[in-house]
Amino acid sequence: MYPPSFDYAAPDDLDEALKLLELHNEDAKIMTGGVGLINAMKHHVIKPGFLIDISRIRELGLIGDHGGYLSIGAAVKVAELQRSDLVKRNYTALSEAAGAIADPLLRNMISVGGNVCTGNPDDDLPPVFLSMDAQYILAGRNGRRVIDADGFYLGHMSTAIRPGEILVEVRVPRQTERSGSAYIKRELRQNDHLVAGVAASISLEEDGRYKRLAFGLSGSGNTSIHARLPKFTGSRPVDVPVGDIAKMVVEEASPLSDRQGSASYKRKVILVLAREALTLALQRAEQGGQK
Amino acid sequence: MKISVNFNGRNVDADVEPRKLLVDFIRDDLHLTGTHVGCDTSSCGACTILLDGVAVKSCTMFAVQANNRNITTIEGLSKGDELHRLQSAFIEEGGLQCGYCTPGMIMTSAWLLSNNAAPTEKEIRNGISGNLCRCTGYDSIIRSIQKASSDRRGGRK
Ligand SMILES: Cc1cc2nc3c(=O)[nH]c(=O)nc-3n(C[C@H](O)[C@H](O)[C@H](O)COP(=O)(O)OP(=O)(O)OC[C@H]3O[C@@H](n4cnc5c(N)ncnc54)[C@H](O)[C@@H]3O)c2cc1C
Ligand code: FES
Ligand code: FES
Repeated sequence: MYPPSFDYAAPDDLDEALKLLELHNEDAKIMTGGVGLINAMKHHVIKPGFLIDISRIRELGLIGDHGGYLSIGAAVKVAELQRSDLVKRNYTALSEAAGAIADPLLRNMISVGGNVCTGNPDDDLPPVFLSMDAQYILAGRNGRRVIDADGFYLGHMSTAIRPGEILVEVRVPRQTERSGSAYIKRELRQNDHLVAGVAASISLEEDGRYKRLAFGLSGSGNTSIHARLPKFTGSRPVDVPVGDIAKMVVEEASPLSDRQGSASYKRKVILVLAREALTLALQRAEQGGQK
Repeated sequence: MKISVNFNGRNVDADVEPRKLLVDFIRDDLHLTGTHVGCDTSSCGACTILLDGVAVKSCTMFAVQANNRNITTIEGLSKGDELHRLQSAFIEEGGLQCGYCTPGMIMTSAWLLSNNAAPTEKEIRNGISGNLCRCTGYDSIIRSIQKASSDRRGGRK
């Protein structure tokens, strides 16, 4: 299977990439890992005339602790995100979601930017970024803008990226002392298409009450879903059964019936996953969270 | 587009169309036919190679993406007639039947062992989960990899 001919450039400098994008805008695609693009191009689903490969731009390949937030470059491979000790320790759900993507070989190829920018509601990183109130940094010829992950996913395969823009970085607010997170994905077989996935991200007050409680869902509707539950802020975890919270999470989901199961089956799966993810996140928060 | 790639320790300069898939460049232009094509859609791992030492699926890359990088294919593992210890182990443990998945399995295993010299069975099973085998049922493949990880004298390191 071959795509129609196209031109290709792999600049090692972001300004050069932005210039090329402006020049070829209508016809160009940004390529970071290439896994999504190449499969779509082989099937002639898209036929870009110009590919701008940004994987060689050094500044886009870094993960770092910037005090107030975790910074993840758009070209970071999801395998690196999965392996990073910093991410494992303080942003556990993110490491778990990265490790849930595809298989070990594809994780060496798929980038954070590609996973975030496709806008596929079944992808694993977006729900975690939503649950952690992440921000996406978009660069254009006229400078950068910051957009909340919450405002990024507009519809199925549709995002807030404007023509001429490149996602360069994801910022995840630093989790407090007593925070914890978890991501659990259910598949019928290993590496099969998902049934659904749930991310839970919480932080607790000094005295153990909920300070923040948020969920992100994959495979649960037209877009990646953010379920914030401010209602529980201030309650003590012992006073609100995990099952009650999970029921409210399911209310935010609108899964579709497909080969992975009926919508009502998926709702049950989401209920169970929400319970399990919250229980894990709570345990992690109570064990001290951020180190 | 002109590219320069190091294949199995040898520098190759070539002029390729950007849409040329890396696996086809390896098989059709370099005539290294050990790297196989199974699914052509990123699923089976028959096309696995090492890119700067890291296992990737060469059906899901264009050759131009490999410019100025190092590639190892199954042909690059043995040292002349001396087999790599993974190759010997696959023979000794019967880690193959038809052999279609084998080059990919071995390249993935080589990457796995380069990061983890003594993986557990679970780590091996997870590690090769991007490589499909239609014949063996995997058990003999797992045993082969275990053998290669414990038997360090069986071949080249
Ligand atoms: C066999 C298979 C299994 C998969 N399994 C999973 C899975 O389990 N979980 C999961 O989450 N995903 C899975 N995926 C999907 C995969 O994560 C997406 O296709 C992802 O887009 C691939 O990332 P990439 O870096 O290769 O993206 P690319 O192919 O480089 O790009 C994908 C899209 O994003 C755009 N883009 C990329 N980077 C940027 C940027 N920095 N700025 C603006 N736009 C950008 C591109 O223009 C393109 O439209 C799977 C894919 C395959 C083929
Ligand atoms: S041929 Fe590349 S993964 Fe199947
Ligand atoms: S030996 Fe036949 S596919 Fe693995």
